[in-house]
Amino acid sequence: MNHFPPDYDNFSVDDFVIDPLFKEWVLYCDPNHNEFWTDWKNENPTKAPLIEEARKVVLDIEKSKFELKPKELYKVWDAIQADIKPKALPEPSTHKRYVWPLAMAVASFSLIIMAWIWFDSPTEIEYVTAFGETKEVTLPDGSNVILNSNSKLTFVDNWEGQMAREIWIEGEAFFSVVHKLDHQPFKVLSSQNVSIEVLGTEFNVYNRSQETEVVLTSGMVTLSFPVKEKEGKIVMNPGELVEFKESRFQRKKVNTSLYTSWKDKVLHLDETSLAEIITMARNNYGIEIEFQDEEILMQTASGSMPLGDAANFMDQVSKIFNIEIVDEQNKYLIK
Amino acid sequence: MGGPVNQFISRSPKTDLRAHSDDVALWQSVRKGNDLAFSNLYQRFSNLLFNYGMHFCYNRELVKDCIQELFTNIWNRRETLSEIDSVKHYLFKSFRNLLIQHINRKRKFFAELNETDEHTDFDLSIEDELLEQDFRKENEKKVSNGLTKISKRQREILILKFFNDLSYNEIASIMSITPASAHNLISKALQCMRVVLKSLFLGSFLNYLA
Repeated sequence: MNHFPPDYDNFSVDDFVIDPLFKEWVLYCDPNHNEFWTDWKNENPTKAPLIEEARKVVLDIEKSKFELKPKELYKVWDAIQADIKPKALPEPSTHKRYVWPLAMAVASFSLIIMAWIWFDSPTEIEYVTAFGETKEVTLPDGSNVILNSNSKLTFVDNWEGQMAREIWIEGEAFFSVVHKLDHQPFKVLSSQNVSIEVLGTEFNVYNRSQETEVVLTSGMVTLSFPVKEKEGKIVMNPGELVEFKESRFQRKKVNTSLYTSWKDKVLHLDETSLAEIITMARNNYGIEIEFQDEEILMQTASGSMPLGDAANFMDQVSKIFNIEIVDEQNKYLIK
Repeated sequence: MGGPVNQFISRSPKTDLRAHSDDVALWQSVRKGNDLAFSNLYQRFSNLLFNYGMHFCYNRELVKDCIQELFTNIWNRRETLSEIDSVKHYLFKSFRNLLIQHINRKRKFFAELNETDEHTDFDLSIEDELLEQDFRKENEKKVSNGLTKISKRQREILILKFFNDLSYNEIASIMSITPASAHNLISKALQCMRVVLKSLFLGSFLNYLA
């Protein structure tokens, strides 16, 4: 079924017609293929009539292709849904901890944005969080994103008629994606060219320095990432963490709540080292931390702690690890 | 979205290889009850199945009904579905069985109306003949189509091989023939196609002269 490497020198017309590589070259004129086939034709000038005949057959068969009209495609799908007892689509999680004035501010702000977009669409929208701040964003399709501190989210506001709902992330964010009736894919792109294509619903993306980390809570996603000029692709299952760093990926089973609890303003620790916590504090609060004794960084802790502001956070860290932390004007010294 | 996405997926052979392992992963998720994986499976295969179905029996509504039934069955029986090596093979084989069931049911209905029950032979029913004529007419509107001139079974095997890149063993299993006959049937089909195309070309050339 797979032709690697095919022995084209001994191919007959028939062999060419049913060869997937040949077919793709004829039908799609892929530039990569083009080079290969032009070279091959030059090396085998006697095969030109053979190729020409195979080309004609390919084009003729392709012409006979039947396709469902988009309307029919959805109609049949709806009929299937009706047959299999309709199951509710995943709803965007609703968090009602927002106070009304803020909600109204957000609403009027988005109204202004919408009005603006009305005149000038599609527009790129950007959400940025400061140190110590998290933000909840509702996307044009009703999907929900919680943006962690010191992070940036970019997307084009109008996804109608696009191949995919595409969104760019720097920093860290938790996504709850709604499934669209027309199955329009949802794609998250990180700065290392990792793309996360969503079939499922809830996942966390961490993309800082030279690292992308995806944790899947429920549903299913496919990850594509660049490996040596090629593209790797894996399908993730719930409860998995995939880390992509220096052109390599690693997959492991994790307790997902450790990675996603920040969205509920809680930090779960499970033998988490002080070093990891300091990295997190630096990224999320933008604070400088220094220490006198490096050995202390290896200490670990388990349990959970609420997430507040920087001072509050460092205060709790000092209690958990039983260490003294001195606050010297936005610079913390661990003793 | 279905169209362009599917085309994109089948564009490069590298993606084909990945699509294969993706299919298996999708299948496993469907078995576990993931409805998004299920919709993805539908999106991936509905048009491939539709194309095959339309060549098998030129009856748009019947083919759509069979697609509906196929996917409904998969979801309803997802817990009892076994792990499979080739999702494509499984789908086409089940789909073909459904098509035959539906065609036979319909034929029985017409047979009862006519109070004759002689249409037991699969290839030679009146209704099939009519559909076959429709098919040829429809395709003749499209310019010079060699597929309309070859036999039904030849056409079926070409569709399976050309559009779906199934292996000879898989095709043999789908059509209930031996792999050796699958090889023979394909080379016969292509041989006929080439003869037809040549004569069509010659025909249009003569027309041009006249």
